[in-house]
Amino acid sequence: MSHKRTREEADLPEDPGEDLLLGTQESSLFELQVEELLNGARVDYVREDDVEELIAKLSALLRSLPVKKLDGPRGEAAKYLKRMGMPQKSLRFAPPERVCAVGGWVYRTLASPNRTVDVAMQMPSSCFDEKDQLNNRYFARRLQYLAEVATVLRRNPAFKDVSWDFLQHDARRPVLVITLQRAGGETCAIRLLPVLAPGTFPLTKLAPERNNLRASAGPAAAGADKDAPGLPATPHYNAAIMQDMLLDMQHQVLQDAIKAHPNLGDAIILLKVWARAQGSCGQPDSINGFLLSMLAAHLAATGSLVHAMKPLQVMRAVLNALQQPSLFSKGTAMQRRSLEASAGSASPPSPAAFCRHHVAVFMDPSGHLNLAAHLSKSAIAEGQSAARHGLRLLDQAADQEAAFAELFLTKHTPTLTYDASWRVSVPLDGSSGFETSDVLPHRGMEARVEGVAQQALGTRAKSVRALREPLHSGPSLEAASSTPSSVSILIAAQLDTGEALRAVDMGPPAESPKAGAFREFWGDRAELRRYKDGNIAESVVWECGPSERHLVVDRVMDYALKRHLGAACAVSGHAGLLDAVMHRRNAHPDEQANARRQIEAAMLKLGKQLRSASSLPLKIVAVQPLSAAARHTAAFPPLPHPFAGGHRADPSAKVDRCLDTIDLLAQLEGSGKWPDNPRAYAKAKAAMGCQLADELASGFGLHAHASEHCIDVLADGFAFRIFLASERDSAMADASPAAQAGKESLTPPEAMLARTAEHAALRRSAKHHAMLAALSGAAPAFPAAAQLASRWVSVHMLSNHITEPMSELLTAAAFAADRAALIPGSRLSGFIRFLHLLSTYSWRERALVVDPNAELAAADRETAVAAHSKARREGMAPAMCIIPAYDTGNWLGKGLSASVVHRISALAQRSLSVIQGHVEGGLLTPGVVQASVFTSALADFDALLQLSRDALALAPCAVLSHKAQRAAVEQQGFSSAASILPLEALQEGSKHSRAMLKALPQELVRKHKMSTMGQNLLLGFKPVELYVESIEQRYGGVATVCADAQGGGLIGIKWRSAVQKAHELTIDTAHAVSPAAATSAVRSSKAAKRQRMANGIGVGGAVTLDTTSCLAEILVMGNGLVEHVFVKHGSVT
Amino acid sequence: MVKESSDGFTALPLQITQGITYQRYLYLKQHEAEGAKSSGLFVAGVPFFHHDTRGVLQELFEGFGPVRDVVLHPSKSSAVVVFEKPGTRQKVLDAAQAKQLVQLKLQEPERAYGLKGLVEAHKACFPGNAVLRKRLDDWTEEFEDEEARKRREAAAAQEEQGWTVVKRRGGGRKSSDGQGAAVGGVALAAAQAIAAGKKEKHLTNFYRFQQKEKRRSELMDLREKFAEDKRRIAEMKAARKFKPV
Repeated sequence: MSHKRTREEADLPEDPGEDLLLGTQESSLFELQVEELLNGARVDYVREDDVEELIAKLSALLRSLPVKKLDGPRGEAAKYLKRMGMPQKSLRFAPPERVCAVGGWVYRTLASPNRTVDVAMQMPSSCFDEKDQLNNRYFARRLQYLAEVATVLRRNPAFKDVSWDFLQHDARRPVLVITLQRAGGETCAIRLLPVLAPGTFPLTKLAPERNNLRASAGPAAAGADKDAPGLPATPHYNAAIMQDMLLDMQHQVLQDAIKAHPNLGDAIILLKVWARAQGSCGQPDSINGFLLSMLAAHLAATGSLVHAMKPLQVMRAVLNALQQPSLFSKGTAMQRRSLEASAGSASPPSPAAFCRHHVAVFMDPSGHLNLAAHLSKSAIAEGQSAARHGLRLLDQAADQEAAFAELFLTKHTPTLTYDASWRVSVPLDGSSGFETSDVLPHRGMEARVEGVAQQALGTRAKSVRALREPLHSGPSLEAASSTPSSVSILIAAQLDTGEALRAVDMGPPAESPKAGAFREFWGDRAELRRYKDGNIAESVVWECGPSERHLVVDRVMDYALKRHLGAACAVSGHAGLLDAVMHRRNAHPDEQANARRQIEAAMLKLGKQLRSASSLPLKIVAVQPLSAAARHTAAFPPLPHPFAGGHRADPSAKVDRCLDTIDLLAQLEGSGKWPDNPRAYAKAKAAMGCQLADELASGFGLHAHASEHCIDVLADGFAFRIFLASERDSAMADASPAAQAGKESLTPPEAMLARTAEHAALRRSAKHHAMLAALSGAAPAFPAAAQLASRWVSVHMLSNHITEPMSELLTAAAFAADRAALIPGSRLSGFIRFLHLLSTYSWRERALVVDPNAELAAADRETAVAAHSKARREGMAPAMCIIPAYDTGNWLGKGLSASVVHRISALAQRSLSVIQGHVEGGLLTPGVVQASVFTSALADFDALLQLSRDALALAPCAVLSHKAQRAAVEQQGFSSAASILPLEALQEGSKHSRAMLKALPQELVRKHKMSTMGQNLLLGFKPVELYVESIEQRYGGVATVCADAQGGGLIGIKWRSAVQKAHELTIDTAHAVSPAAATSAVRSSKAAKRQRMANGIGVGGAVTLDTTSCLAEILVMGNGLVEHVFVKHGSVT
Repeated sequence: MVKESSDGFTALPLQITQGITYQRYLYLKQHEAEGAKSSGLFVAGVPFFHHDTRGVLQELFEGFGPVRDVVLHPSKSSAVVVFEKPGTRQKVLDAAQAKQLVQLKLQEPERAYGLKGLVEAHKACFPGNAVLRKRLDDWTEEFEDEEARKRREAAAAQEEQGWTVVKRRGGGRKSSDGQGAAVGGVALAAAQAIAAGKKEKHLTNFYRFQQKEKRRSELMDLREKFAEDKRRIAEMKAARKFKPV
């Protein structure tokens, strides 16, 4: 059926926007975003008109320079040449033959904020001798020429701001950058590129297999014309000279292509923005904007791009070409264009010759120059993986806005792209090799280190990359390029999570010819090992405890690099950077790691026992875990407890008074005999629980205690809390508003228990667990990253704002495929992504749909997002909204205020920049990083409550000890509130309010014969959470409360500014205020007081926050729990 | 009617001693409930007490005169006090007007409170299996008695109205349909849930007008989405999102 007929039938009104609408129905949002991005990235060339004038002025100045003879280099140029081991020759200086703009400026493809205008300056051939291509002579004279120009420019007031930069970070090829003052105070930069006429040196002599750097640079050798046989080829050196000769031609080709294709220019801008965002642009050995432009031009010339393609489609085609592995490795040649007659008509070398000498081959139109000569293998791999990721985002992103941001707007630093990194510093023996090596020594060392790292990691890593040190531009050559005595290299790797943590590297079989090489590489560590299948093979074994598995990669790198680069090289890795905060002070890290496995075993066993419980009227058909401890995402899993039949490795370990429970959901088989009344149903289920508890006690000898909501069981050292579920639950939950009404009279602990036991809550946590367990299977680094995230949340006292499921979901979102090129492969990279997500996501505007396993249908996602944006338009949207895939109707983070969300983002940003600075810059020590990432920012609070050490079950997990905490509080500008509140009276306390929850020494337990379960062990009891909840309930409208649920004994209080100001009395905050006049009455004179009494006004309309009485009341509420109160200096009147 | 303006409130200074001593204010206002005699006092800013708050308030205001009733708001931060005599209310308000400081000294509660109170409450959730079973059994028995009584009463009421109540013949539920297939007992609630889950099936593409409407609505949706996207872009632009890195 034709399109036209459809429209007629549908009886639609004519609409001019319809074609647009129909044409872009799939990705209109993406297209619109691209349009806006282009608008932002295009440079407004009309506004920059005066630049043309400046270039003309510059040209006139340079063209008028006198011819003169320079005997030798002077000043900084001489020093630089000496250091680089280049010859110091005389120069016949002549004015440039041509000075004109080239590059992005000319064909309008500059991508803002980069506004550097490239200006080519053609040096006359007469400046050079015939054989200047040999032994760096050309580069020496080129530098002298530039130095002369720089001297002239510096004398001219208009161009005096001249600095040095390096083309492709190549120390041989400096260029001049002139910063110009323009009208209106803006600056613009002109990059002066020296070029040569194509015929200056014979192109045949610069073919890749030719040698132009002779070892003995004596007069005799210099005279030799022919290559001495056996001299190594100098392909990179040759390419560098040719690039100066052939620059004009490349630009001509590019310009023609852009003119011919309407959208190519915009596509190149897009590609540049993309490359810059992917972070691969600034590297000396990586695919840069120019190469991408040439690739686009090549595709246009070969007919891969049609004129109807939009910029985004052109970009997609270029990415598609880029991701082909054969593009560079097999060699690609641009359409040949004949050179000017003067350049000679030598036929170019064969492509095979280029492939022999370069890892990547992309021939320019002359056929003599390899444009990809500077690329390294790892850089190509990086570029191609970025391209693949880009294509994936373009083709199948579930969330187009996030995909767009990921492609163009997110700056991908190495810490975000790579899982692990190591800083290696290797000493460099200063002078040797500059004269004769094709690749400069520090570049050579970088490549060598990369090779060793690649071999050491083997299959542990998907990709390894040594990030090359860029040469920084500077006002003088000396500052710009110093040759240090050692190179500091950042090696980054993407890990294969399945392989990265293996403890044994299995090599070739003993009799294999490869065995020798393996032994050679690993040295003493290589040993013969017999495997279970009878295979005898060379192996390397890395011994490590259960808590040190993630450190194996660091050890491998440390050993291999030191073995091959000498003991003087220093290697520092970051796999264990944040480990210390995950340790309890009262248990060995291994014990904690073991506990995780023991929990799993105990859970499995109990599950079997539950399913085999025979005396119940209804059988248990399935058991499912619900707790974070069961999916390894809890920062501090419960340790085996002696009262529950567990054994601690350390015999002197103290006995905890509280034990966290691991929640399980036990599904009962269906039955029609349940009561119909919801309340009676609940009681019948509780009775079933009683029976189960009896059965567990009598049948399996376990301690089991039932409550109305759950059954607590002690098994194998752990406490399990079993909730019963039956298929009748949902029908009963729908029909039981009456059951809700009774809950008001519950005590706080029971209310908390009842909330967990609600049908909807149980179902949600079951689905939550299933989703995260599936994710852990796909991304083994997820649980450890979630632990770090949960620890970060609690240390920053956000536990009551970002609940445990929320922090897990946020981490899961950071592991989602459309947010990351590769799923994070280490705990640190996962944690970094979590921080990045928290700090960069625009929470105010968008809901975060967490769907790491891509199980949500597109329509459901759309509905969920639409519901949120509708709420936002109506002003009803919460400040943060997390939508889990398993329950899109249930928004998490609803309760957070905008200021808390802002604080979360700011804290995450701060932590992120510290870690990034450490990993990429290497300036801080691990201790400092830990201290700044895992220290709560106390200064923002108005008051702090310090909880009693005795009342904290998790006190050994806290980062700071009780004493250190108090010192930190005082250092942050807080002082005791004793001056306004009589704290002593409370501190004495009474036996009616105090309780000992701290761990007890074992002798005490033995002495008092407490080693029976009895009433001594509190299961799943969370007093701090209950207390915080009660404060929030009563003071939620008056203050923001922040608490740490993992042992940090501080509760922070920040008063709301609206209540602190004088305001009208409202009933919901009446319990926190005093009349505004009354507070000043304390200090006012008696006469004033009398006058006020005569007026007889109690509340003169205005009231203000009465912090003293609020704190007093909060203190009274936390009787037995709070030990001390601190207030900000100066807040006490 | 309760007046919402704050002008009507009078502050009564109160010095409380419970563990520590501190001063705060109660905000009082005449409470004019419909139908009640004018002796109600609305109290806002009720403090937190470990004791029963209602009792403490009663005790506090009995210092001024006999109190008939105290009704506490569920938030426990406001209450209405009803006095026996209308004059007492004025007495309280006068005291507040005169800024007369009222002292309230509370003895330490007999039972556990504060942290220990929470511990005790937590323990009370697990009273021991035998105790819990007894409690549940008692509740169920009582519930069933109550249900039976209600049924009886309903039957009696119907009989009184002249209906003849027919008793259902005894006998268990059918467990097979007579042809060998087992029929499980399905409870009413479960059956209703199943019934609610079933949806009626419609042919959506049967008539031509249906097809037409479908196409039409699809186009409308697209247009709407396009407008929505435009709006979103404008928002993002306002948030300066498109600044290249």
